[in-house]
Amino acid sequence: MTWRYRFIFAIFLFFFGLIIIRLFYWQVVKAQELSVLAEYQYSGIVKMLPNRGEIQTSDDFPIAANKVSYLVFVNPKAIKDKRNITNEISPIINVDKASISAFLSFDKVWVSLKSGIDDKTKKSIEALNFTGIGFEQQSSRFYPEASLAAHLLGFVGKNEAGGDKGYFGLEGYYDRLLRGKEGYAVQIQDALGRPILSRMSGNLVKVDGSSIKLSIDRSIQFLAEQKLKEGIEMYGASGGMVGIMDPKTGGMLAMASFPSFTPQDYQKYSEDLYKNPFITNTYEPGSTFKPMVMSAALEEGLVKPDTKCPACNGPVSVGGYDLHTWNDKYYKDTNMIDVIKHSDNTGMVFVAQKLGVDKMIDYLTKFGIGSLTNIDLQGEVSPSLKARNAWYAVDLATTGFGQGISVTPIGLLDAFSAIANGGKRVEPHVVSQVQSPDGKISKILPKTVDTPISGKTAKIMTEMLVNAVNNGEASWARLKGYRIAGKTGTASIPVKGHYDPTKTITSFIGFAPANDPKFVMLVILDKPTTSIYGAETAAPVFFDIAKDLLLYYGVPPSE
Amino acid sequence: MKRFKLLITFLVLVIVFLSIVQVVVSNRLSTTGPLFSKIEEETNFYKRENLLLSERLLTSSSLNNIALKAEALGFIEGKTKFIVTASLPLALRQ
Repeated sequence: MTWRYRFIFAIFLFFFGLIIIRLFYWQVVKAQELSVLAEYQYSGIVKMLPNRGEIQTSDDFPIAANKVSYLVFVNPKAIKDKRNITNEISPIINVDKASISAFLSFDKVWVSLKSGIDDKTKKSIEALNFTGIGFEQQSSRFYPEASLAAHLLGFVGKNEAGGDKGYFGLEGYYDRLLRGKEGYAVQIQDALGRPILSRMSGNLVKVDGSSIKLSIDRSIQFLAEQKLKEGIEMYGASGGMVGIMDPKTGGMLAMASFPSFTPQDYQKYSEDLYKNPFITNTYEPGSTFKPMVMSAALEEGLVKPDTKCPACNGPVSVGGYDLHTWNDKYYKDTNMIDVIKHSDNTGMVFVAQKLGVDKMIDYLTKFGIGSLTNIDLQGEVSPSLKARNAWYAVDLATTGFGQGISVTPIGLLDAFSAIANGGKRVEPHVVSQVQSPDGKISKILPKTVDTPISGKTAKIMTEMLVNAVNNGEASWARLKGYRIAGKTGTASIPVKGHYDPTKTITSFIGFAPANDPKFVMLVILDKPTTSIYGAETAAPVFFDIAKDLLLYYGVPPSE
Repeated sequence: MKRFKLLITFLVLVIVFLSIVQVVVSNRLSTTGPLFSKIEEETNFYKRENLLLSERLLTSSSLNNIALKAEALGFIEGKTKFIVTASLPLALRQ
């Protein structure tokens, strides 16, 4: 009998063993695989797109923000009346009927028709009450001020993967900061697909982009653009630029260029317009360069304001070239104050020759000529200075009056701002602070890059420039009652080895009030047709803007 | 021995109580999906409305828009500017 009990026991033991082995197989060996299968069935990975950071002007107004937009998609398999839908939807979303018809014939359950449609368009489509059409909410870039500061902002386009990416200007330069980081959420669903729980994966939490606040004053930017546009029309120019900066901090108050584009619809414009000419275009500055050269000579003690020019009673011959004044008027025994007042090229040749090539290169480098200003915008260029052994006598002479040397407008403005700032040159910047999504603010502090001249020389140069405004060829346009320091510029345009006598780039550079400058400004008009001279084109635009700026800052007349 | 029995009884009761609590809580939690979904929908709705209103607000308060509306209402740029300052000291007056 005992053997029967043992036999039955052994059979039970055997089957229990089998069960345990099977359980071990499913719960240990296959655990990982089953866990993954379960996750597919009961959970989904949801991509969390971050909000792009805003770009705000100094008054906290977002000139680049985000808005709600939608992607409209269709389920071709759920649509019965394809022709009717095509006819109704095509004019609403502005896609041709042939394309929509093609999308509706796909053998898929999800086909995108168009992205970036606004809420009004979405409601129009919803009102049609068609089945098989759905919407996916997106976020797209939005510029409330339309084309204001377009070159400064740049625009947001797409990268190779179809994600948002900033190009040019601030959107390009600060793209990494602005775009944030994608996150991934694990969402667990019940048998009917309804969410039970949702949690963020620890390492992949969504991080919204940081916002940036600019030193740009929205009102000044608007004013500058209006006045520049009026000036371009009035003087028949093909384009123009204005840059306004706080000389003490380097903060840009405004930067305007025409022709321009609208960042919202950047695809409609030529790619040539995307670059910011204020930082990418180079030109020969002409007489607006003279203050830097004169400052250098004053600083070295090579000339004083009352030093007389011994060779200014006629054209100067240098290296086989005859160098004239802009109006062929010559002043015998003219002093340095009058050289600046009359914008006398021969006087500047005298000053440049006094400086010599080595000191000229040294001071130009200190003024930042030939180097990038490192302004925080994408696309800045800087033409290099000629190597020491490539300078001829005529190069030294022409550099003295701003020809034969190339600068960018931002480079010139930055160099000139040293005169307005007691001899100190600061690094220009557009962003004044960065705010992270958790509210932490990082301020960007002014940075003094170099001190090309002393405070004393800066004061002397300032007085010479005030005298040039009050008594020079642009005195007819000046603001009475205010002490404004400035210099006109009429630069010939080099064309195939010679200078075009009929076309010029006119400019005016200056700062006000002279004793305690609130702003330094450069106005450039490209090939004006009513007159080729800076005193008659760029100077009035400068003073027109300066008049409103001084009022804006509440600066009363001092005289 | 009596203490030992009491301890065992107490532990068993605690285990039973915690098991009941777990069953009750899990049961409640497992059916919160629709409620959670509804709250999420409402939150997204208000976030979307905020963004839409913000867009309208920014467009309305843009300088471009204000300038256009001002022009339509007949506002023009003032050409004459008056500056009111304190009177000059006697010695500086002419």
